[in-house]
Amino acid sequence: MLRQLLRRRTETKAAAAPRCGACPLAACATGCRAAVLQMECAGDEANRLRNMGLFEGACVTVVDSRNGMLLDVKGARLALGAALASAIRVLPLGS
Amino acid sequence: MPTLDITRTSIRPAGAAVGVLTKAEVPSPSIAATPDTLRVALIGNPNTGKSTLFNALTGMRQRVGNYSGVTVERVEGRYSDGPGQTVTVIDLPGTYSLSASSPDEEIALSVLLGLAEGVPVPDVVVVVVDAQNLERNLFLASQVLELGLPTVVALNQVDAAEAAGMRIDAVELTLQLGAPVVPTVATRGQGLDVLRHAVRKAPGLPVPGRQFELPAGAAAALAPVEACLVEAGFSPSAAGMEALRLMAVPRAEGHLAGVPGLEAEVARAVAALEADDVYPPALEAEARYGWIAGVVDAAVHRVAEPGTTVTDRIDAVALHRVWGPLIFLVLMALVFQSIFTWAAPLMDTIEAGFGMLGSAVGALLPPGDLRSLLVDGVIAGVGSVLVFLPQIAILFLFLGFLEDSGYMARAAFIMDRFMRGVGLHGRSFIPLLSGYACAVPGVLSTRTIESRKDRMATIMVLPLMSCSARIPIYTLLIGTFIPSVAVAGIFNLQGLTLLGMYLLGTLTALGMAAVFKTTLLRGQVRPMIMELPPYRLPKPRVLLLHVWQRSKVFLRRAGTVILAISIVLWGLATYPKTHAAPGMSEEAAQELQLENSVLGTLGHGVEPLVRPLGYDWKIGVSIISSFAAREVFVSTMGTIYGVGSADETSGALRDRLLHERNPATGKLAYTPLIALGLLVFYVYALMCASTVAVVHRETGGGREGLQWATFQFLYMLALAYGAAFLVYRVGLALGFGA
Repeated sequence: MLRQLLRRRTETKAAAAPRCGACPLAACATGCRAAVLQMECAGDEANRLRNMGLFEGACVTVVDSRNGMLLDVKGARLALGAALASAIRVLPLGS
Repeated sequence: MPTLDITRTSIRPAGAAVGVLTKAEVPSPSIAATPDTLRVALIGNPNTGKSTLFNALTGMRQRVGNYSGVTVERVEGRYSDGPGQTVTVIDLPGTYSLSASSPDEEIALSVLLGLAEGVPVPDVVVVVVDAQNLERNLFLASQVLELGLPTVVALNQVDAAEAAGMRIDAVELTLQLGAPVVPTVATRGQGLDVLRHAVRKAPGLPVPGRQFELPAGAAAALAPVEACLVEAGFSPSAAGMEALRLMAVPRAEGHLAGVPGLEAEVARAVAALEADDVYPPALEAEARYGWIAGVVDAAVHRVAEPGTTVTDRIDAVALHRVWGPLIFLVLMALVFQSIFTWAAPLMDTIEAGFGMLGSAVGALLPPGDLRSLLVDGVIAGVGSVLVFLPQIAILFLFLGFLEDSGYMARAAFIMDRFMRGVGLHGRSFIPLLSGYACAVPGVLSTRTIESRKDRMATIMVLPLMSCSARIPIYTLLIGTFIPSVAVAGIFNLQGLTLLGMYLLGTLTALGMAAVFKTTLLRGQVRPMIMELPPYRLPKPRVLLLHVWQRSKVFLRRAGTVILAISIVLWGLATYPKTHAAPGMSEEAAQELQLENSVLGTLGHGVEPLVRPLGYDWKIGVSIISSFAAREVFVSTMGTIYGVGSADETSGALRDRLLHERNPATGKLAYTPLIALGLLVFYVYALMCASTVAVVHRETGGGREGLQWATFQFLYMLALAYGAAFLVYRVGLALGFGA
């Protein structure tokens, strides 16, 4: 259901008012689960992340948010720099 | 499109699977010529144990070269599979997907598509998949399956997956993927026979393909792109993979550049998808990961829920904002300390061995030039460098341990913060760290850096990292001139001085990077994305193999370059002969001989250049001779003091240096201050022909590469001279000259 919802997001919709509860990934606390909504980083990085399992609609878990971002993505540990984590908008799903 | 017009080597039976490039599907003459050679390509994500599997399959029979035109390392090996059947294995660079964003990844794709020059399309592809991390690893596997090549999936590290409470049903996975899945544990050699068997059988099996269907709208939108690619010679299956991939990549890679009308078709497909409310960049990830979720559901049984793992617990400390960098620093300090303490007994043994060898040869031969050549030239010269083998082996052992244990990736992540401060990416950190071992593999490993400017800046400063060839110089000078006293109870002043040299090089490298990134190579730093593999206890056998391979390079150099230079230097130091005046002491006669030799004349010629740094002509000559390779400095000193020594066995070089006196003044020739200046000189000077050559090639080759390499050599030489001058002059002014 959520997937369907997210897939139906186009460029014009994304530019509209922010979704209720959506926030940058960087704002998520340790232990938080979140669904990726939108990636505002450069195309190369976004594509790399998508291939590694972090794509619009995917769920990630924040393993450590103290220093950059350590994520659980499809069972693998992915470390993202703080700047990149700020460029990814997510919908927190609670811990 | 000349690039697609390639010749294929294939042993597939006629009428079997259609390969990637249908246009080239003409019977190749090499089919009949080599019916007993099977070509296998190994591909997989980083950290899947792919290289370990490669080593386990091929043993020591491997060859490292380069792909033509690019400097990506090409690793090939072979094994025999029954009488007359040879299998060649090519180990492709680790990649997360077939979408190329670095030169490394582009090679993987072009080999599989048969577009890499000199590399025929593989007969079988082995996708190495990490069983612990199945979901993410299957993304690449699903792309490879669509290439239409016979494929075998090696499900590696199944032992670790089972230990983590995952049971993977290989039969179910085989059915789901449409390709044979073989569980393996490469580190223990388990499953290799089955894997070899599956590879042998794979060409006879139906070729795999896409195992999922795209939504009807998306499939319709992509159809024209696929048709365009099929028209250009791609097999329908590979065209499907490429078309789906193209929806996400910002621009088509080099191998698709020649396909007519592709760009327009891609733009139309993107527009059609958007009209259908599909977000094109996420289409491939969503489709593949959606299918993978189903595969994992069917084939993986979780005995235990994943909780907090040991890795997470270690990372909670190792990645801490404050503790992380501190742990890293302490770890490095321990490494450098142990390079001294552990290696000492081994070094003493080697030194004593060469001393004995020298005496033995000296006793066997009559006095004369031949004896002098062997004892003073060859044995003293080569021996003085070989003594440092234990230290180099220990350094490589530590670097190998950090790499194999998984800590290296953490180090890169921790250092990203600091690297960003100087305008570099955390990814630049690993090449810089490999620079501690040797600048050549360090420069080669910058290929993983995507931004060209970051890559150039990293290459430009990389030789400032103290490599293992400096160890002979550092330890000779530190061991001789720096007193071995305890500092703060646990540390030793010698170890700390060595750490200081490494820090000096490292900090200068970072400083210079900042200078380059704000001047010549100004540009934005790419964001940090790094997978942190689970911690593992490295296998001693794998580590030792790594140490052996690296030590072999050092030994080969000692046996060739350094041997040759030692002989030449001996000749220069021996001729022309000067006859001692009657009544002259033997010591003084030797000194006179050396002064009047060609080497002495040369040395006195360069003396004015090095005098401001406090060096005498002997050091001057040693510096000149070490332009080809730094460690030659030590062998030159060994030869000079071998020739110049009164006794035949040429006592240990350290003692000779410590007691060397200036014949004119009678004062000690070398003081700790001079040694310190010399240490600093070698921290900075780029004296390594191999590095200059590899930098030339990696910075673009030809004229452009030459400019970069020359610039690098000159700026580092200027830095070395300036810093050594400063150390000596300031030291003198402060009264440390004695």
